[in-house]
Amino acid sequence: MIRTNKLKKVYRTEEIETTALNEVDLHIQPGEFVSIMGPSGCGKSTLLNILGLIDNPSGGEYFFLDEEVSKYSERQRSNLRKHNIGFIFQSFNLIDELSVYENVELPMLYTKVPAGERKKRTEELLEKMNMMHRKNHFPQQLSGGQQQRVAVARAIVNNPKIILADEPTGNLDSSNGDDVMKTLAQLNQEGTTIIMVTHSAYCSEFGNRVVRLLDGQIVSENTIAKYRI
Amino acid sequence: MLTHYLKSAVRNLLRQKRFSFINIFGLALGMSICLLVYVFVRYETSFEKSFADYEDIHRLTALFTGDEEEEWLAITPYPLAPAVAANVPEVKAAARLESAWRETQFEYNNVSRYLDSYAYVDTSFFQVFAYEFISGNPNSVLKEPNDVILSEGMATQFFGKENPIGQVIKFNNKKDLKVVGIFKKPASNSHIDFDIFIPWRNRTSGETQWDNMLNYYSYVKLHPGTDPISFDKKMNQTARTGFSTSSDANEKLEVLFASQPIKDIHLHSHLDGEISANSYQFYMLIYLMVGFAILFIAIINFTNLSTARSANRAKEVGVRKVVGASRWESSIQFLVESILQSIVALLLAFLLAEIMLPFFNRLLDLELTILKDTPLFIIGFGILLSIVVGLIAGIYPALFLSGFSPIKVLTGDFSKSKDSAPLRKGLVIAQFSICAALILFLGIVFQQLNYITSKSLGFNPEQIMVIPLQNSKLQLSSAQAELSRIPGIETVSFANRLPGEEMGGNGYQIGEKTAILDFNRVDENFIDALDIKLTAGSFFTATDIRDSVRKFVVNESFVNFYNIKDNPIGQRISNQNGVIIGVVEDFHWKGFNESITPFVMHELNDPYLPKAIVKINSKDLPSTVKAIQKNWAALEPGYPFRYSFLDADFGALFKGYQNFGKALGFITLLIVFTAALGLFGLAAYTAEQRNKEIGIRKVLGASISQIMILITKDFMYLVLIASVVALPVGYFIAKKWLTGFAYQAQINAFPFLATIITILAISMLTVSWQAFRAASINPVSAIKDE
Repeated sequence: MIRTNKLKKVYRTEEIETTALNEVDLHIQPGEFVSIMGPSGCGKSTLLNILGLIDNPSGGEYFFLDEEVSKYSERQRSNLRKHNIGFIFQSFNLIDELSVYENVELPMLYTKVPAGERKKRTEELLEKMNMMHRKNHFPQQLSGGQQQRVAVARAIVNNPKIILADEPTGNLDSSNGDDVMKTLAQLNQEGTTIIMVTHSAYCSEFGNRVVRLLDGQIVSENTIAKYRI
Repeated sequence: MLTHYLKSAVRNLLRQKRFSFINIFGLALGMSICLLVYVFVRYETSFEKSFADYEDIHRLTALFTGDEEEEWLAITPYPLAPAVAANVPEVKAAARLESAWRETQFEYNNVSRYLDSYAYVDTSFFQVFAYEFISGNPNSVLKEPNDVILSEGMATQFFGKENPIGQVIKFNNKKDLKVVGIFKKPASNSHIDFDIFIPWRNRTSGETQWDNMLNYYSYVKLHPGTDPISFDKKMNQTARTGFSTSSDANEKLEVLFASQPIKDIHLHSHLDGEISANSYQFYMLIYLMVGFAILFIAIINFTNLSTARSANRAKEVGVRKVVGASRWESSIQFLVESILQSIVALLLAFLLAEIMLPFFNRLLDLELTILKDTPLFIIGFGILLSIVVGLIAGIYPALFLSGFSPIKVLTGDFSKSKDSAPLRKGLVIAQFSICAALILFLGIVFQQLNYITSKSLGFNPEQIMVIPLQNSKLQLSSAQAELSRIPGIETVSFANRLPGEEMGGNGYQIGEKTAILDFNRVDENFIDALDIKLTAGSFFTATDIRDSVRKFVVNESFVNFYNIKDNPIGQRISNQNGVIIGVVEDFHWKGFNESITPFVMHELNDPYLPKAIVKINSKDLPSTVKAIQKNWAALEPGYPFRYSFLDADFGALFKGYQNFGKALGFITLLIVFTAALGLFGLAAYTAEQRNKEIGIRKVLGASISQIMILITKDFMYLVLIASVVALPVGYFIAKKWLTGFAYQAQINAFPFLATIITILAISMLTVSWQAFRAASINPVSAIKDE
């Protein structure tokens, strides 16, 4: 599903050149739940952004669904992204001016899903996330846990093949964090591929593989035999 | 999707109230001026278009060439129109019109009305101008000498709900006129704007009087497709034949006739003897430019504020892009938002325009309406305007905001993502350049207005009462004796015309030199009444008036023009069979936009309803006026007493310029206000963005005034650059405007300094409130927030 070959990302300012990713080779099969771990600044988020097609690598190859996408334009990446990838962020990133319902519905507007179908799917997901009673509320009226549940609903509303989660529990208390992790694990069981960046060893145990990064390079890959659910 | 965009736009507008207010109010002000300008331009360009075949209708004009002088007249000789109708096959119909000389009494049912909106016309007039008749037949009305036809409105004024046809109106206390037709005034405007048409007055020897050119306007309707140049050629041939049969008094003058499409008259024709003063395309252009300038400033506000507060929208753009929005879709979203604001602004603009309309009508002396006459046009224009403005104002912010990279905005690296500050600075300079140029222009306009209203006229118009005579049988001497008895009256004089009025023109020949010059018929007290100085010779005396030798008093310009400085007195004016007996100092009888030209005074030896000039020297003006009124009733029984004061009449000459000054002042105020509004918003965002910096500086010991200077100085710097850029432009425009005046005020440094100080003071006031608020924050909260 995802394969990188000597993936490289270099940030340049006028005086300094920083290598964020250094020849990363990563292979992810459909249905995997991969946790990416490592200290701050090791390149986890950079890797996730490139895998999520919101950033381009500086070098190397990136095969997404068997297509080499590393040289894709913003428009091409946007097209691939909206049909195949769902995002979950640490800071939720809901749009403040849109209600819970509208935030969940939003990705379907860009994939031109008919209105009836949009309504059906949005309501289904809000039920599933137990947020139906809050559908007309705005993000600032919700707790962190509720916001992240809305964000998860938004990420999966277009039935993406892969979900990328960047510290999805980072801003949540343990109980809310647990709920989110259980939801992700369940989605993975239903067949969605998940790649998650996390600092938390506990969270990483919800996945079936842990990739450790240090200074932009993969230093270890461990398979978890029996993962949490 | 559109519903989604609109919903999100409305919520954004409501969340950012200050920003929305500045944007919407600024755009509304700009659009309201544009609506007013639109109404004005529509009015100015609508002239004559109601007449069927208006493009084939031409007015005939006459160009006289003397030795040095050239005079182009809107009036033509008495026989010209019938002659071309008879001799030039391209003419479909031709007609003459003689406009009223003065207000004249129209009496019905013992109610008198003094009207000057009447004209004498040929029967063929309605073949040239296809007026719509409500009753009466346009082909047969005015066949009888006592016929009269009225406009619908005038008929209602006279007869109310009675049937007007067959009613009799007494004209000038002498003649009974029978109403034979009612016409509808044309829907659009015309230089021919009369309510009453009376049959043409046939002169006994008229058809050969080629040198008779009083108030006769000639019009022709040509066959479609006629080449005006070939028509003009044939017209001149006809006229030459006519002149050769006539005893032309001004044989040294050459005259050429030219046709002029009536559609060009209102904006382009400024000939001598126009029926009424026409407008200038230049003014229309100025108003158009002003409309665009204010809209431009409002659009700059929009662009500046939208990009300045881009940080507030960055996250949204990032998220939308991550979940699938393309840059195009994001741009559309922001454009929808700007068009929505523009449409809200349009509604407000209609309201503002309606509020400002009476003021503009007063200034322009018009009766324009906005929504009353052609609501669909103006609403259509408004909608188009708001969409165009929304697109122009929104396009840059839309492209700027939609260009955010999601990775940068979502990872908090926003500050490095884009910088629109240089553009904003440029736009602020542009805005304030326009403001400074206008303020300077305004300053110079006021300097000039002050100059022309305070400069000596060469005569004294104060305390001069003007009474137009109405009874042609009134003996001037008895009137003079009667009035002179009233205490407080210093001098009583009679003259045909007064300063500020259009003078008559006449040919004068001294030696070999001939020219058509302005003249007036005055009596012996004229220069005493008006305080005009005699510099050589003598003025008329009471006995002169009855003398058989013609005598003239001329002004100094006349003496210079004919180069008779050495010996003006006794000079013979050969074609008038008379001599110069006196020279007076030049005086400004035309105001200051025209230079003083040679001028001749004739004796008032054929007084036909002149005007009485009563110089009052009284501390109790009202009681003197009352006494005059009482005595006048005995002099002109049956005629109501009508009077005016010369200073007010003459002041009307400046009214147009004063109104222009007022309009410019008002517009400048609006433009400066709009620009200041934008600066206010921008300062608020700048202060917000520099919150942390201000906090740190305060912790390190900066005082409130130091912080205020820090924030204010950047803006002051921009505004100062703007002033420097704008001053030459403002000066250039003002210089152009001043060329319309023969006498110009000296421009000194004052308006320049005043402009810089004003513009700096306005921007300082605008910015310093925001700077003070920012400087007064608790530094702890600023740092903690970060």
